[in-house]
Amino acid sequence: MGEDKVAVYIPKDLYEEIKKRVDLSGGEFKNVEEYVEFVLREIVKEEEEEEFEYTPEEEEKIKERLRGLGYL
Amino acid sequence: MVDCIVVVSYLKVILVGVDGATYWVIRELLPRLKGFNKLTEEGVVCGLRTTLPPLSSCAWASIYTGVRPSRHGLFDFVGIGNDYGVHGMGFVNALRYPVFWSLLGKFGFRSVVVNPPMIYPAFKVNGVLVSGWPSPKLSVYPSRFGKILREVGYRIDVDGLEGRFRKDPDGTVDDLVEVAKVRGEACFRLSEELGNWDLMFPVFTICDRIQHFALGRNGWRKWVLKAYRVVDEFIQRALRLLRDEDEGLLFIVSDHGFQPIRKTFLVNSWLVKKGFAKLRYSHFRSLIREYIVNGISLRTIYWGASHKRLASLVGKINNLFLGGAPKRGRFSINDFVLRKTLAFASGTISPATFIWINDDRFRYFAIKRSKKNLVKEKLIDALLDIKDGSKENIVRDVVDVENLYDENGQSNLVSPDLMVIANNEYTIDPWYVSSSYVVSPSVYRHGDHSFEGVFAAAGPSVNRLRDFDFCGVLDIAPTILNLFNIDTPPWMDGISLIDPDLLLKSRLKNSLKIKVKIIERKMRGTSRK
Repeated sequence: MGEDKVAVYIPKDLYEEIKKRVDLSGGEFKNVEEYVEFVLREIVKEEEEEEFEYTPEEEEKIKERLRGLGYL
Repeated sequence: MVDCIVVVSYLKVILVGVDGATYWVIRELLPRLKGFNKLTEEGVVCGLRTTLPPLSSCAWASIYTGVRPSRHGLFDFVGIGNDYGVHGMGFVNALRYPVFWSLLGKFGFRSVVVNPPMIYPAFKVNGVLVSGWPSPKLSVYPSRFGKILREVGYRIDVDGLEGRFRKDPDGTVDDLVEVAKVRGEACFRLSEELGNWDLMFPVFTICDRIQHFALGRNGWRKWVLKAYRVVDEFIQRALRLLRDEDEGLLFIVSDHGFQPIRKTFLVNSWLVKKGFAKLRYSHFRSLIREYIVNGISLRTIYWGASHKRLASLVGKINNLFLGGAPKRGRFSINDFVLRKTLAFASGTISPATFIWINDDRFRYFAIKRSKKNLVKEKLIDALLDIKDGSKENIVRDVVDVENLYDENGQSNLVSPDLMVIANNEYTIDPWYVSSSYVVSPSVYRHGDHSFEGVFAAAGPSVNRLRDFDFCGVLDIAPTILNLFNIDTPPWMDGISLIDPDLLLKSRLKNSLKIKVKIIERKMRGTSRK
């Protein structure tokens, strides 16, 4: 394990399940650690996607654009 | 189990979005459009079925996500709150379903996306994203690409079109042409700067703008041809770009079609006339509108338009003492006597609009929810029976959408109950009141949306498409993904146009399966906002 990594414990049955998938991946994942890291990175990326709220000024500008086209 | 199959891609796809591009208009102008001609000769051109209602917000959201409006929930530009306030329905960014270029990005493909309607702000993508109409301001990801947009003089749109067309139609068309040319140039410049792009996806709005104004008028071709020619020039340049590629496809996709409009159905005026709604009329306001606003220019009375404080004061006096709906003119839902209004209409002016039953979901309701079915039934029968004069039916269909559009993206909005769909050559205006409920179209409504847009495809990989003579907006996202050998995700409603036997199968990547599963999990976990 490299210096920039830390140990995380997972249940043994989960480890075994992942190991089976690693074996079936045909070399795409070298070991359980690589598989777990990949999955966690993907989940973190998804969670990071930001939520956005419009200000009242922005909402008014949007309506103005719609009115300008005769939509409202 | 979702199987995702990828190959190392050398494919380039150019998807040209053309808001409002219409199959029958293209056929009519075809001899003067070289690019479209080439598409007809070397590829496929056909009609494209849009969404219900046929609105840009709704249809583009379905194009990007491959999901039906009843599931993505963006069925209009605006919705109604329980206080009768008109609120924006939000942008595609807030939907739980990912857009196809985000999915491509997750699989390593790079996109240049310019002006996709209903995308704001620009979010993180693998490539470049320039926010689309009706963005309150321009937003670009990554922001360093904003320099190129400033250099070419990029604009989101031409503002205040209804008023501008009234004063100077030719000048307004020329301005729209300029905005569209710059958009095309910006797209090529951004692609060059990014390098190694896989998907280029610009959306042009010029055909929509000019057809709204011009269709149905004498000499419409003069104006409309200018709109299609700008797009045609982009198509020719894009086809030249693909000429040297081994694998490549150019698609043309519109969100809806267009039709000339002969009459406007004032649905709220009809509801008042039939006793479903009651308006708080103001005779003073009517008099002002009838004899001053429509006669002498109001600006003269207000001592010049530059005196904004005076105009604002007059406006406040008008609201204080002359409030209420005019006999003829624009009005708001608050001009109804709400406790005596069983139903009212709202939404974007288009050939399909929505009716709400004023039940106890609203603050000043007129009927309990448990009793509203009777009102609905009466309304449906009466709407389907409306005649313009003695012959033509105005309404083609009325759909009970109470349960269909119950997921509208924002919890502060109340779901509509009925969707009214007008017959050909009619549009529906819920914002105008008059003693007559069928009137001539306004300046900006001589043309309005129809249900048949256009789909076209050409390029070296055109033989990968299966045989079809019609398709729908829902089919675009799965088709683009399949082209890049990503299987159609299970949440999509559309069907890919790619021949399944011509998928370039090579190796199965487990990591891609995991990515799709994570996205699915996130969507299941997203609660209604």
